[in-house]
Amino acid sequence: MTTREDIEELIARVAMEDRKAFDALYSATSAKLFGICLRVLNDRAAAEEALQEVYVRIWHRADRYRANGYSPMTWLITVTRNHAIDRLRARRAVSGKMAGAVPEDLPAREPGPEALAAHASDMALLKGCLEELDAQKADAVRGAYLQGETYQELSDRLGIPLNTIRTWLRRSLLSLRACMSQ
Amino acid sequence: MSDGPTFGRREDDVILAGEYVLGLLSDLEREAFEKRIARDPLVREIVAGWAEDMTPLTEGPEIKPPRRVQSRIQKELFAENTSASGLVARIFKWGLGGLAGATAAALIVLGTMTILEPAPPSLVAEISGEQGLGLQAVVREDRLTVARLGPPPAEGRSYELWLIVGEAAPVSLGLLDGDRERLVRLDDFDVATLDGALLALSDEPFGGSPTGAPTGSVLAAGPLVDAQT
Repeated sequence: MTTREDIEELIARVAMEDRKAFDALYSATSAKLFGICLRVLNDRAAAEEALQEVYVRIWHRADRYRANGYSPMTWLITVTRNHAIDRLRARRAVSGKMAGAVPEDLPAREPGPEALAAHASDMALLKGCLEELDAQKADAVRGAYLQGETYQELSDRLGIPLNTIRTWLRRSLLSLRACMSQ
Repeated sequence: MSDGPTFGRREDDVILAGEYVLGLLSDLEREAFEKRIARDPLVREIVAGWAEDMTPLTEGPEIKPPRRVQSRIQKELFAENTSASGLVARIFKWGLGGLAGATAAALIVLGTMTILEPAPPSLVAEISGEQGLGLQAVVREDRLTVARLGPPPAEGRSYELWLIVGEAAPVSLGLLDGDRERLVRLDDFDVATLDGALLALSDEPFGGSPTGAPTGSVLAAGPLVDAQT
Protein backbone atom coordinates (compact mmCIF):
# COMPACT_ATOMS: atom_id res chain seq x y z
CA MET A 1 0.00 0.00 0.00
CA THR A 2 1.42 3.35 -1.01
CA THR A 3 0.82 6.00 1.63
CA ARG A 4 0.02 9.65 1.17
CA GLU A 5 3.58 10.47 2.25
CA ASP A 6 5.00 8.10 -0.37
CA ILE A 7 3.02 9.81 -3.13
CA GLU A 8 4.02 13.23 -1.83
CA GLU A 9 7.67 12.22 -1.85
CA LEU A 10 7.40 10.79 -5.38
CA ILE A 11 5.80 13.97 -6.71
CA ALA A 12 8.55 16.04 -5.08
CA ARG A 13 11.19 13.90 -6.78
CA VAL A 14 9.37 14.05 -10.13
CA ALA A 15 9.50 17.84 -9.79
CA MET A 16 13.29 17.45 -9.77
CA GLU A 17 13.05 15.41 -12.98
CA ASP A 18 13.74 12.08 -11.27
CA ARG A 19 12.66 9.48 -13.84
CA LYS A 20 12.77 6.56 -11.41
CA ALA A 21 10.38 8.39 -9.13
CA PHE A 22 8.17 9.05 -12.17
CA ASP A 23 8.08 5.30 -12.95
CA ALA A 24 7.28 4.51 -9.32
CA LEU A 25 4.52 7.13 -9.29
CA TYR A 26 3.11 5.61 -12.46
CA SER A 27 3.14 2.10 -10.94
CA ALA A 28 1.46 3.31 -7.78
CA THR A 29 -1.25 5.49 -9.34
CA SER A 30 -1.89 4.60 -13.00
CA ALA A 31 -4.57 1.95 -12.31
CA LYS A 32 -6.54 4.42 -10.24
CA LEU A 33 -6.18 7.25 -12.74
CA PHE A 34 -6.92 4.97 -15.70
CA GLY A 35 -10.11 3.87 -13.93
CA ILE A 36 -11.16 7.53 -13.73
CA CYS A 37 -10.34 8.17 -17.42
CA LEU A 38 -12.40 5.12 -18.39
CA ARG A 39 -15.36 6.04 -16.24
CA VAL A 40 -15.46 9.58 -17.59
CA LEU A 41 -14.71 8.82 -21.24
CA ASN A 42 -16.26 5.35 -21.52
CA ASP A 43 -13.94 4.54 -24.41
CA ARG A 44 -10.73 2.55 -24.08
CA ALA A 45 -8.67 4.20 -26.79
CA ALA A 46 -9.63 7.69 -25.64
CA ALA A 47 -8.91 6.76 -22.02
CA GLU A 48 -5.45 5.48 -22.96
CA GLU A 49 -4.66 8.69 -24.79
CA ALA A 50 -6.00 10.75 -21.92
CA LEU A 51 -3.89 8.81 -19.40
CA GLN A 52 -0.79 9.38 -21.51
CA GLU A 53 -1.47 13.13 -21.62
CA VAL A 54 -2.20 13.17 -17.90
CA TYR A 55 1.21 11.71 -17.01
CA VAL A 56 2.99 14.04 -19.41
CA ARG A 57 1.23 16.87 -17.63
CA ILE A 58 2.13 15.47 -14.21
CA TRP A 59 5.80 15.33 -15.26
CA HIS A 60 5.76 18.97 -16.35
CA ARG A 61 3.70 20.34 -13.50
CA ALA A 62 4.94 18.36 -10.51
CA ASP A 63 6.89 21.37 -9.29
CA ARG A 64 3.70 23.35 -8.98
CA TYR A 65 1.51 20.91 -7.16
CA ARG A 66 2.25 22.35 -3.73
CA ALA A 67 1.21 25.85 -4.77
CA ASN A 68 -2.51 25.08 -4.77
CA GLY A 69 -2.70 23.32 -1.41
CA TYR A 70 -4.19 20.02 -2.64
CA SER A 71 -3.30 16.71 -1.04
CA PRO A 72 -1.17 14.60 -3.40
CA MET A 73 -3.91 12.16 -4.50
CA THR A 74 -6.42 15.00 -4.88
CA TRP A 75 -3.97 16.80 -7.13
CA LEU A 76 -3.43 13.70 -9.29
CA ILE A 77 -7.16 12.97 -9.42
CA THR A 78 -8.01 16.60 -10.24
CA VAL A 79 -5.46 16.77 -13.07
CA THR A 80 -6.92 13.51 -14.43
CA ARG A 81 -10.57 14.41 -14.00
CA ASN A 82 -10.10 17.87 -15.55
CA HIS A 83 -8.22 16.47 -18.51
CA ALA A 84 -10.76 13.70 -19.09
CA ILE A 85 -13.61 16.21 -18.85
CA ASP A 86 -11.89 18.52 -21.37
CA ARG A 87 -11.65 15.61 -23.78
CA LEU A 88 -15.22 14.58 -23.13
CA ARG A 89 -16.49 18.11 -23.80
CA ALA A 90 -14.45 18.33 -26.99
CA ARG A 91 -15.91 15.02 -28.12
CA ARG A 92 -19.41 16.18 -27.21
CA ALA A 93 -18.91 19.39 -29.14
CA VAL A 94 -17.94 17.29 -32.14
CA SER A 95 -20.53 14.56 -31.90
CA GLY A 96 -23.25 16.75 -30.44
CA LYS A 97 -24.54 14.00 -28.23
CA MET A 98 -24.06 12.87 -24.68
CA ALA A 99 -21.76 10.01 -23.76
CA GLY A 100 -23.06 7.24 -21.53
CA ALA A 101 -22.30 7.63 -17.86
CA VAL A 102 -21.61 4.03 -16.99
CA PRO A 103 -18.85 2.06 -18.69
CA GLU A 104 -19.68 -1.49 -19.69
CA ASP A 105 -17.66 -4.61 -20.38
CA LEU A 106 -14.62 -3.36 -18.51
CA PRO A 107 -12.46 -5.96 -16.83
CA ALA A 108 -12.88 -4.50 -13.37
CA ARG A 109 -10.17 -5.10 -10.84
CA GLU A 110 -11.49 -4.72 -7.34
CA PRO A 111 -9.57 -2.30 -5.13
CA GLY A 112 -7.70 -3.89 -2.24
CA PRO A 113 -9.22 -3.87 1.26
CA GLU A 114 -6.94 -1.05 2.45
CA ALA A 115 -7.86 1.14 -0.48
CA LEU A 116 -11.52 0.52 0.20
CA ALA A 117 -11.19 1.30 3.90
CA ALA A 118 -9.18 4.46 3.28
CA HIS A 119 -11.87 5.95 1.06
CA ALA A 120 -14.94 4.46 2.63
CA SER A 121 -15.35 7.24 5.19
CA ASP A 122 -14.83 10.10 2.69
CA MET A 123 -17.20 8.43 0.29
CA ALA A 124 -19.80 7.90 3.02
CA LEU A 125 -19.61 11.55 4.06
CA LEU A 126 -20.04 12.87 0.52
CA LYS A 127 -22.76 10.35 -0.20
CA GLY A 128 -24.61 11.28 2.97
CA CYS A 129 -24.37 14.98 2.15
CA LEU A 130 -25.51 14.43 -1.43
CA GLU A 131 -28.48 12.50 -0.08
CA GLU A 132 -29.47 15.51 1.99
CA LEU A 133 -29.97 17.37 -1.30
CA ASP A 134 -32.93 16.17 -3.30
CA ALA A 135 -32.21 13.52 -5.91
CA GLN A 136 -32.28 15.86 -8.90
CA LYS A 137 -29.83 18.29 -7.32
CA ALA A 138 -27.44 15.51 -6.33
CA ASP A 139 -27.72 14.19 -9.87
CA ALA A 140 -26.82 17.63 -11.25
CA VAL A 141 -23.70 17.81 -9.04
CA ARG A 142 -22.63 14.36 -10.25
CA GLY A 143 -23.39 15.26 -13.87
CA ALA A 144 -21.21 18.38 -13.66
CA TYR A 145 -18.31 16.68 -11.92
CA LEU A 146 -18.24 13.33 -13.71
CA GLN A 147 -19.65 14.22 -17.12
CA GLY A 148 -18.63 17.85 -17.41
CA GLU A 149 -22.21 18.98 -17.92
CA THR A 150 -22.64 22.74 -18.15
CA TYR A 151 -25.59 24.69 -16.73
CA GLN A 152 -27.08 24.74 -20.22
CA GLU A 153 -26.71 20.97 -20.63
CA LEU A 154 -28.16 20.33 -17.17
CA SER A 155 -31.05 22.63 -17.99
CA ASP A 156 -31.72 20.75 -21.24
CA ARG A 157 -31.41 17.31 -19.68
CA LEU A 158 -33.52 18.01 -16.60
CA GLY A 159 -36.02 20.24 -18.39
CA ILE A 160 -35.53 23.10 -15.93
CA PRO A 161 -35.05 26.73 -17.05
CA LEU A 162 -31.40 27.86 -17.09
CA ASN A 163 -31.76 30.59 -14.47
CA THR A 164 -33.70 28.32 -12.14
CA ILE A 165 -31.14 25.58 -12.32
CA ARG A 166 -28.31 28.02 -11.74
CA THR A 167 -30.00 29.42 -8.65
CA TRP A 168 -30.89 26.11 -7.09
CA LEU A 169 -27.57 24.49 -7.85
CA ARG A 170 -25.71 27.42 -6.30
CA ARG A 171 -27.84 27.06 -3.15
CA SER A 172 -27.22 23.33 -3.18
CA LEU A 173 -23.48 23.90 -3.31
CA LEU A 174 -23.69 26.04 -0.20
CA SER A 175 -25.69 23.37 1.65
CA LEU A 176 -23.34 20.66 0.45
CA ARG A 177 -20.30 22.58 1.65
CA ALA A 178 -21.88 23.23 5.03
CA CYS A 179 -22.73 19.54 5.40
CA MET A 180 -19.20 18.43 4.40
CA SER A 181 -17.59 20.82 6.89
CA GLN A 182 -19.55 19.58 9.88
CA MET B 1 -17.48 40.09 6.90
CA SER B 2 -21.02 41.23 6.17
CA ASP B 3 -23.85 38.99 5.14
CA GLY B 4 -26.01 40.54 2.48
CA PRO B 5 -29.69 39.76 2.03
CA THR B 6 -28.84 36.82 -0.24
CA PHE B 7 -25.29 35.50 0.04
CA GLY B 8 -22.44 37.15 1.89
CA ARG B 9 -19.06 37.65 0.30
CA ARG B 10 -17.67 34.51 1.93
CA GLU B 11 -20.69 32.46 0.78
CA ASP B 12 -20.21 33.81 -2.71
CA ASP B 13 -16.63 32.61 -2.68
CA VAL B 14 -17.70 29.19 -1.44
CA ILE B 15 -20.24 28.93 -4.26
CA LEU B 16 -17.85 30.26 -6.92
CA ALA B 17 -15.15 27.83 -5.79
CA GLY B 18 -17.65 24.96 -5.98
CA GLU B 19 -18.74 26.01 -9.46
CA TYR B 20 -15.07 26.31 -10.44
CA VAL B 21 -14.23 22.80 -9.23
CA LEU B 22 -17.34 21.35 -10.90
CA GLY B 23 -16.49 23.18 -14.12
CA LEU B 24 -19.71 25.22 -14.21
CA LEU B 25 -18.21 28.68 -14.72
CA SER B 26 -18.19 30.34 -18.12
CA ASP B 27 -14.78 30.99 -19.64
CA LEU B 28 -14.81 34.62 -18.56
CA GLU B 29 -15.90 33.83 -15.01
CA ARG B 30 -13.30 31.08 -14.78
CA GLU B 31 -10.48 33.34 -15.89
CA ALA B 32 -11.45 36.03 -13.43
CA PHE B 33 -11.69 33.47 -10.65
CA GLU B 34 -8.32 31.92 -11.55
CA LYS B 35 -6.76 35.33 -11.07
CA ARG B 36 -8.26 35.47 -7.58
CA ILE B 37 -7.01 31.95 -6.84
CA ALA B 38 -3.52 33.03 -7.83
CA ARG B 39 -3.64 36.08 -5.57
CA ASP B 40 -5.75 35.14 -2.57
CA PRO B 41 -4.65 32.29 -0.26
CA LEU B 42 -8.10 32.13 1.35
CA VAL B 43 -9.79 31.58 -1.99
CA ARG B 44 -7.13 29.00 -2.83
CA GLU B 45 -7.94 27.17 0.38
CA ILE B 46 -11.67 27.10 -0.36
CA VAL B 47 -10.98 25.70 -3.83
CA ALA B 48 -8.65 23.03 -2.41
CA GLY B 49 -11.38 22.11 0.08
CA TRP B 50 -13.91 21.62 -2.71
CA ALA B 51 -11.44 19.62 -4.81
CA GLU B 52 -10.76 17.41 -1.80
CA ASP B 53 -14.47 16.94 -1.06
CA MET B 54 -15.40 16.01 -4.62
CA THR B 55 -12.72 13.37 -5.28
CA PRO B 56 -14.77 10.52 -3.71
CA LEU B 57 -17.09 10.88 -6.73
CA THR B 58 -14.28 9.45 -8.85
CA GLU B 59 -14.12 6.31 -6.72
CA GLY B 60 -14.52 3.09 -8.63
CA PRO B 61 -12.58 0.05 -9.74
CA GLU B 62 -8.89 0.51 -10.42
CA ILE B 63 -8.01 -0.75 -13.88
CA LYS B 64 -4.47 -1.49 -14.93
CA PRO B 65 -3.69 0.33 -18.19
CA PRO B 66 -2.04 -1.67 -20.99
CA ARG B 67 1.77 -1.56 -21.13
CA ARG B 68 1.80 0.48 -24.33
CA VAL B 69 0.57 3.55 -22.46
CA GLN B 70 3.70 3.74 -20.31
CA SER B 71 5.96 3.20 -23.35
CA ARG B 72 4.22 6.05 -25.15
CA ILE B 73 4.66 8.33 -22.16
CA GLN B 74 8.37 7.45 -21.96
CA LYS B 75 8.75 8.04 -25.66
CA GLU B 76 6.94 11.36 -25.60
CA LEU B 77 8.89 12.70 -22.63
CA PHE B 78 12.34 11.20 -22.92
CA ALA B 79 12.91 9.89 -26.44
CA GLU B 80 14.93 12.80 -27.73
CA ASN B 81 16.08 15.75 -25.78
CA THR B 82 16.18 17.91 -28.86
CA SER B 83 12.54 17.29 -29.74
CA ALA B 84 9.85 19.79 -28.92
CA SER B 85 8.63 17.76 -25.94
CA GLY B 86 12.15 17.43 -24.57
CA LEU B 87 12.47 21.17 -24.56
CA VAL B 88 9.33 21.59 -22.56
CA ALA B 89 11.08 20.70 -19.31
CA ARG B 90 13.54 23.54 -19.86
CA ILE B 91 10.70 25.96 -20.26
CA PHE B 92 8.62 24.65 -17.42
CA LYS B 93 11.20 24.43 -14.70
CA TRP B 94 10.59 28.16 -14.28
CA GLY B 95 7.13 27.50 -12.99
CA LEU B 96 5.09 30.37 -11.65
CA GLY B 97 6.15 33.92 -11.06
CA GLY B 98 8.73 34.33 -13.82
CA LEU B 99 10.62 37.51 -14.39
CA ALA B 100 9.23 37.98 -17.84
CA GLY B 101 6.69 40.72 -17.13
CA ALA B 102 8.91 43.76 -17.10
CA THR B 103 10.87 42.77 -20.16
CA ALA B 104 7.79 41.70 -22.04
CA ALA B 105 6.17 45.05 -21.38
CA ALA B 106 9.13 46.72 -23.02
CA LEU B 107 8.68 44.76 -26.22
CA ILE B 108 6.80 46.56 -28.90
CA VAL B 109 4.57 44.27 -30.87
CA LEU B 110 3.59 45.85 -34.10
CA GLY B 111 1.14 43.29 -35.41
CA THR B 112 0.99 42.15 -38.98
CA MET B 113 3.11 44.32 -41.21
CA THR B 114 4.73 44.13 -44.55
CA ILE B 115 8.41 44.78 -44.69
CA LEU B 116 9.08 46.74 -47.84
CA GLU B 117 12.78 46.18 -48.18
CA PRO B 118 13.65 43.11 -46.21
CA ALA B 119 17.17 42.75 -44.91
CA PRO B 120 18.64 39.27 -45.32
CA PRO B 121 17.51 36.88 -42.58
CA SER B 122 20.04 36.13 -39.86
CA LEU B 123 18.11 33.44 -37.96
CA VAL B 124 15.23 31.15 -38.87
CA ALA B 125 13.07 28.54 -37.16
CA GLU B 126 10.80 25.82 -38.55
CA ILE B 127 8.95 24.23 -35.67
CA SER B 128 6.28 21.56 -35.74
CA GLY B 129 4.40 20.87 -32.56
CA GLU B 130 1.32 19.16 -31.23
CA GLN B 131 -2.20 19.23 -32.67
CA GLY B 132 -0.98 20.23 -36.11
CA LEU B 133 0.46 23.46 -34.77
CA GLY B 134 3.71 24.87 -36.02
CA LEU B 135 5.76 28.05 -36.06
CA GLN B 136 7.80 29.61 -38.82
CA ALA B 137 10.05 32.42 -37.78
CA VAL B 138 12.57 34.70 -39.43
CA VAL B 139 14.82 37.24 -37.75
CA ARG B 140 15.98 40.18 -39.85
CA GLU B 141 18.08 42.82 -38.08
CA ASP B 142 16.20 43.43 -34.85
CA ARG B 143 12.83 42.18 -36.04
CA LEU B 144 11.28 38.78 -35.66
CA THR B 145 8.48 37.77 -38.01
CA VAL B 146 6.65 34.74 -36.77
CA ALA B 147 3.78 32.84 -38.36
CA ARG B 148 1.60 30.26 -36.72
CA LEU B 149 0.49 27.20 -38.67
CA GLY B 150 -2.51 25.13 -37.64
CA PRO B 151 -5.79 25.69 -35.84
CA PRO B 152 -6.79 28.72 -33.75
CA PRO B 153 -6.89 28.37 -29.95
CA ALA B 154 -9.85 26.69 -28.24
CA GLU B 155 -12.65 28.95 -27.08
CA GLY B 156 -11.61 30.91 -24.03
CA ARG B 157 -7.92 30.10 -24.53
CA SER B 158 -5.01 31.99 -26.07
CA TYR B 159 -1.72 31.04 -27.67
CA GLU B 160 1.23 32.85 -26.16
CA LEU B 161 4.63 33.10 -27.79
CA TRP B 162 7.81 32.89 -25.69
CA LEU B 163 11.50 33.43 -26.27
CA ILE B 164 14.00 31.63 -24.07
CA VAL B 165 17.62 32.68 -24.29
CA GLY B 166 20.08 30.23 -22.72
CA GLU B 167 19.13 29.54 -19.13
CA ALA B 168 17.11 32.73 -18.71
CA ALA B 169 13.40 32.65 -17.88
CA PRO B 170 11.00 32.65 -20.84
CA VAL B 171 10.08 36.14 -22.03
CA SER B 172 6.62 36.65 -23.46
CA LEU B 173 6.51 37.98 -27.00
CA GLY B 174 2.74 38.37 -26.82
CA LEU B 175 -0.23 36.43 -28.12
CA LEU B 176 -0.55 34.65 -31.42
CA ASP B 177 -4.33 34.16 -31.53
CA GLY B 178 -6.37 35.68 -34.32
CA ASP B 179 -3.32 37.06 -36.11
CA ARG B 180 -1.56 34.17 -37.66
CA GLU B 181 1.48 36.31 -38.23
CA ARG B 182 3.20 38.94 -36.14
CA LEU B 183 6.18 41.18 -36.23
CA VAL B 184 8.01 41.59 -32.95
CA ARG B 185 10.79 44.08 -32.31
CA LEU B 186 13.63 42.50 -30.39
CA ASP B 187 14.91 45.76 -28.86
CA ASP B 188 15.37 44.05 -25.50
CA PHE B 189 17.57 41.29 -26.86
CA ASP B 190 21.03 41.21 -28.30
CA VAL B 191 20.21 39.58 -31.63
CA ALA B 192 23.77 38.25 -31.90
CA THR B 193 23.12 36.01 -28.87
CA LEU B 194 19.87 34.51 -30.16
CA ASP B 195 21.39 31.66 -32.18
CA GLY B 196 19.98 28.54 -30.44
CA ALA B 197 17.44 30.51 -28.40
CA LEU B 198 14.10 28.75 -28.13
CA LEU B 199 10.77 29.90 -29.47
CA ALA B 200 7.77 28.28 -27.81
CA LEU B 201 4.01 28.49 -28.13
CA SER B 202 1.96 27.71 -25.04
CA ASP B 203 -1.73 27.24 -24.37
CA GLU B 204 -2.88 29.90 -21.87
CA PRO B 205 -6.08 31.32 -20.40
CA PHE B 206 -7.73 33.85 -22.73
CA GLY B 207 -5.66 37.02 -22.78
CA GLY B 208 -2.41 35.30 -21.91
CA SER B 209 -0.59 33.86 -18.93
CA PRO B 210 -1.78 35.48 -15.68
CA THR B 211 1.65 35.00 -14.09
CA GLY B 212 4.07 36.30 -16.71
CA ALA B 213 5.48 32.79 -17.13
CA PRO B 214 4.07 29.91 -19.19
CA THR B 215 1.30 28.14 -17.27
CA GLY B 216 -0.30 25.83 -19.86
CA SER B 217 0.90 23.08 -22.15
CA VAL B 218 3.68 23.91 -24.57
CA LEU B 219 2.23 23.16 -27.98
CA ALA B 220 5.33 23.82 -30.07
CA ALA B 221 8.93 24.65 -29.22
CA GLY B 222 12.20 24.75 -31.12
CA PRO B 223 15.40 26.70 -31.64
CA LEU B 224 16.22 29.68 -33.82
CA VAL B 225 19.13 28.67 -36.01
CA ASP B 226 21.60 30.50 -38.22
CA ALA B 227 19.90 31.21 -41.55
CA GLN B 228 23.14 30.59 -43.46
CA THR B 229 23.62 26.98 -42.34
